[in-house]
Amino acid sequence: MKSKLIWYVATGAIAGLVAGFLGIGGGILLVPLMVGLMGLTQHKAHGTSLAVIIPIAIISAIVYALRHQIDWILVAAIGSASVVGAITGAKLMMKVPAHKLRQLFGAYTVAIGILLLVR
Amino acid sequence: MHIVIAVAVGLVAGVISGVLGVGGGTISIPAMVLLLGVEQHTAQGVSLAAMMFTALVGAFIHYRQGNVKLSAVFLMIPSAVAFSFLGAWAAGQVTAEWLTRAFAIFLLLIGCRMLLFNRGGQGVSIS
Repeated sequence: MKSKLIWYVATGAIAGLVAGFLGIGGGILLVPLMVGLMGLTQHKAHGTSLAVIIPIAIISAIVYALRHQIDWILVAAIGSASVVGAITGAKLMMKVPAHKLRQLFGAYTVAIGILLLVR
Repeated sequence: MHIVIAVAVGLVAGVISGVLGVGGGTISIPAMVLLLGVEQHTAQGVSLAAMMFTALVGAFIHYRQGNVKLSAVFLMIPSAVAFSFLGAWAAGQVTAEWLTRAFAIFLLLIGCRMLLFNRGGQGVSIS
């Protein structure tokens, strides 16, 4: 554990920096880093990353809120719908072919990335 | 109308993140910017604020199933908190145009990685 301490500190730092700068949760970095560097299972990495994301989201949201860059009506609409969607998704998890969905999600992120760059 | 789109965006983002374990902000932020015309900083702020609640619910469910390694959480939190503050501050130092570009490049990298290293099987998340 002690020899890996630096990995934990570095992983937290990278995920926090990207999350605060780009407004994403950091799970997209945390999960693969925890699996690859710390040898956590996918399930443990998923749950652990969510727990780390809580303080990351709170601190970052405070900084954005101080700059008046949060629309709370949108937060309520998207946040509540996300919770309902996530619970549904978690139940669907074993029925949906994750491999196909990852392919679709990968293609989606590439397409949106290009769209945002050229618009 | 904006609210209807916002709810639909939240549902889609939620389902994808529930199945893959990722994808909340990567879906809701571009949707807010492209569909609702929200400015990039505000879209990110909304994503982070909504995440406070979704991560709390998600972490609680996983914790009850014994899938939260608390020792790892406490080892990561100090640097995660310090650097998220730094990242959030840095976002305020750049224009919306540049922030969108940085966000778009990040999406491209994530997408390419996911397409190139997509392992089979039922996954909780990417790896």
